[in-house]
Amino acid sequence: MKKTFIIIIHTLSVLLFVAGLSVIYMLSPEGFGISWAGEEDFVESAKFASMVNEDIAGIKEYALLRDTFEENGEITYDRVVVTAETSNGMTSYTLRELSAIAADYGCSLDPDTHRVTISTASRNEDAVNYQLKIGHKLYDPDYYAERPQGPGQGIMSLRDLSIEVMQELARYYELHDIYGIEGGNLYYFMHYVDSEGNFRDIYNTDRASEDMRDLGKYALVEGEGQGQMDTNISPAPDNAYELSSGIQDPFGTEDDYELAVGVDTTFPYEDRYSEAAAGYNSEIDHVYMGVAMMIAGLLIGLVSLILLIRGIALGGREGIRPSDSIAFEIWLLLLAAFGGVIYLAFRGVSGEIIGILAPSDSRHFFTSLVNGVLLYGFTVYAFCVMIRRYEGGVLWKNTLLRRICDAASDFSNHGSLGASMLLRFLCLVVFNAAMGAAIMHCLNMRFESGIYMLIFCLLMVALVVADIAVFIALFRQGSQREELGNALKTISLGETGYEVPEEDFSGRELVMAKDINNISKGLSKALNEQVRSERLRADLITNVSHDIRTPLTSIINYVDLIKRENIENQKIRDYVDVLDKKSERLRNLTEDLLEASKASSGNVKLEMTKIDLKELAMQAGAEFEDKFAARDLELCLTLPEEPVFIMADGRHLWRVLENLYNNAAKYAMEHTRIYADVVKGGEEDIFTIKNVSSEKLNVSPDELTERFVRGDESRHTEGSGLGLSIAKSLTSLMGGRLEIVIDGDLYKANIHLPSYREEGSEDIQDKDI
Amino acid sequence: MAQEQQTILVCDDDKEIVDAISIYLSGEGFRVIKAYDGKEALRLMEEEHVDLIIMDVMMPELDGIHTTLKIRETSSVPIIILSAKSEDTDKILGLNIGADDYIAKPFNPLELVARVKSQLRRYTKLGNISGSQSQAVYKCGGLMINDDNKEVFVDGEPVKLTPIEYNILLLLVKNAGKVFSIDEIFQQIWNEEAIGADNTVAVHIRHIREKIEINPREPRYLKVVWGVGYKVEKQP
Repeated sequence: MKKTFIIIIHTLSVLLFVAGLSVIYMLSPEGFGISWAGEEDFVESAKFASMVNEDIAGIKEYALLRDTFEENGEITYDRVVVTAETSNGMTSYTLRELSAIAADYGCSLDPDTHRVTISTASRNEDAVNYQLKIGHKLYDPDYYAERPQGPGQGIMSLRDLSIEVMQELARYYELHDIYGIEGGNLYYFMHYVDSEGNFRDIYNTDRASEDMRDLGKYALVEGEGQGQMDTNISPAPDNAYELSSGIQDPFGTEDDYELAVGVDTTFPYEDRYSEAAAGYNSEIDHVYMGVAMMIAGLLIGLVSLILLIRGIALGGREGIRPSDSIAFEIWLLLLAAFGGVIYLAFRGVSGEIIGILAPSDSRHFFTSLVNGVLLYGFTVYAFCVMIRRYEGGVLWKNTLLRRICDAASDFSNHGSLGASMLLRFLCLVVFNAAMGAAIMHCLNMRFESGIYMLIFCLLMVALVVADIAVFIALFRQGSQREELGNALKTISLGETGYEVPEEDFSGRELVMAKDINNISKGLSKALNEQVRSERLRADLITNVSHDIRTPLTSIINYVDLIKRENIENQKIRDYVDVLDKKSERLRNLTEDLLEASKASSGNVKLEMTKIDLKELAMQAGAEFEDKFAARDLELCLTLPEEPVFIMADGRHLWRVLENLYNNAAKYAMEHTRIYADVVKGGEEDIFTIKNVSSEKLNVSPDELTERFVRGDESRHTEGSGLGLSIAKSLTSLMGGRLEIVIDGDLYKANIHLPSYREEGSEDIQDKDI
Repeated sequence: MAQEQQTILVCDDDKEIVDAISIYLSGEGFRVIKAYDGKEALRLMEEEHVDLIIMDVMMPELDGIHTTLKIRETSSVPIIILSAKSEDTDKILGLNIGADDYIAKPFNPLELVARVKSQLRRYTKLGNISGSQSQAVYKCGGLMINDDNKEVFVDGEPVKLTPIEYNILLLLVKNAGKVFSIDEIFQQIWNEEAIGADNTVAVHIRHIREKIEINPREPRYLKVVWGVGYKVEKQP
């Protein structure tokens, strides 16, 4: 209800505005707006100036018509008024002939009212279609000059010509009544040269131009003045300059043109000037009222419009009507169609109403006004619906454009890549071709008018902008792909947690980026899970090892204490020996287990430094000299002359070599040689140890590096079976690899380690995995 | 032993281990007092004169690390940490907070006794020797070389070295803290270029270690820098 009230208020305010506008329009002289209302005195106002200006135009028209129809103060019927080309050759028509023809067509002129009446009952049907090609019109000497040339120009029927002449004659009478008599507030005289070159003058006073100045308001133009106007009328009546039909160039060489106009501002006569002066103040009041109405209408309209929009906006989602489910474009089209129908249907009716109500010279204005109000109503309605849809959140949703966009983006993101690319490419080609064709068309027109130049420029700009946009899109796509490629590479290189910033991507690349992030998340989750479980296991082993150590300490100590007692019983001594050996083995096992678990889980602190593999091989060899000697093994070291620098953690690499040497000391056949070589390579350096196994090796090399696997199960009891496993884990932690080769009884272990590189200037890399 | 009986405080929450250590040390003529947690150890420290402490790390009430820190606030008595943890980080932690030595469980009883003796000798005897300062005396912790009469002492006990071993050790002690590669040592001692795969130097050094170190695998003085060379740690 409230909304209806606001709508009524708004409608009324619009009508108020329109009424105010109409008042102002009706009261304002053409071309001056309401500025004339600013002057308090009528003679100073633009309205007065406008009247004088119109009178000057009237004087000129009167002069022309007088030259056409009058001779010595009387109407002359025998002068040739029009020459025309007919099927019989050139024909001249006098006023007499034409008025007779006009009378034949039922056209008559009432000399009192100066009105031409045309009766519909024509007596001479034949001549209706009698076509003439006009040669010259005395009353319109510029007939050809003012109109564009063309094959159909200048053709009119005899009937129309006669009526036209009758109307001109009527106009002559009308002007004669105004300007041809003395006794008005307006005084004028004009000297000029007519179209035939005769000096003519026309006047309603014998005042000299100097005397015109005494009248109050005057305007004087002399040919000698080169167009300078001497006037105290503001704004200056520029019709005084204007070239008029039949009046020779006032600024020509002959200086024969002179126009003087004066208005007696005391208004001694009752005429249109005195009437206008008398009504001037009340007209000003009316104009002010009109302005007030306009402002009031504008303000109320604005306020009510805002209230209306707010009311609609507050409706939010609840304000949605069933009609809002129609696509917005279609709805707009329907509205436009409806508006068009209304316009067409009522155009005739409104035209008639305006014709009755409004003076004939303001019909155009009122027609435009009615159309404008109609258009305004529809626009406001459309705008309100737009607001309603916007607040209801369906403005964009319910548009065809969105559906097309969605379909296109869906197709380009999820459809086949090839088809999508093809479609885009075709769109680009079609666009470019259309643009090219349009530009070519413009070029063909050779910019014959400015609009082609404008269109050409716009098209060029549009083409360049569109192609640059396509390039930028391609470039962005390319760089996004590159980024995705880099991300994949990063992930494949092991940085599993790597994620690409999704906000950097769009379209198909966004889908890919999301997929990559999902993979990355999954990978890093799985990896974390694995690392966690590894760590858990390592922690468990560490804790168990620590917990075993305390009781083991007691066992070892007390076994030792028993051994120190002098026990006579040989059997007990043997038993204690067994205990001693087994507890020692248990100790080794615990140590190795702990180390193996740490090495395999990577829970080892590495201090990678530049070390000499050759030096290390010699140091390690020296440490094992006794052990080898005990089993009569000879160590043969083959080392290069130069140092072999590698990047490794010296202490851990020693543990690796220690385990390898230990194995050799334990499992090599007695009285044989053990060969240890250091070979310098390019990328990596190799340490090799070879020995002949004393036992048959019936396991595969891979199995040997598994935990708890030993070359033989039966003979040795001191090993834990973890040595090679530890060696392998530590080597790979340092970036190298351990390789076991078994060839018959020949057992060979190779350690490949990365060479030290000068550019790898980080001498110490603390890696806490 | 001629000197008066020295008192050693053994502190471990495992009673059997304390008893075993007690037996070994008593056998060597030391007086042993026992504590089963950190607080008890601190109390005993106040009550009695203690010459050396053997301390477990993981104990109830107050652990070995904190107890050591407490003791160090007032006393510089030698402390040997005894721990089931054998990682390097644990050792470094123990030595950094003021312990003098670190022995991992399970330990060799003989090594334990040797280390106890070594610490005691350093603590008591060394002070006397350091008085007689001579130009030709080089010292590094408990290791001392008198170049005048070519004698080497470890914790005050003389050690017999061959001339080559002596020269190598002297070179390393003179340049304590510096790492010498095998080739460098060879050049310095033999005054000739090293020839290829000769690990004579390495073997000598192993022999030196066996003579001057309690546990050659975990040397206190002559350390192996694997893949680089050998050095004697700079010690006060």
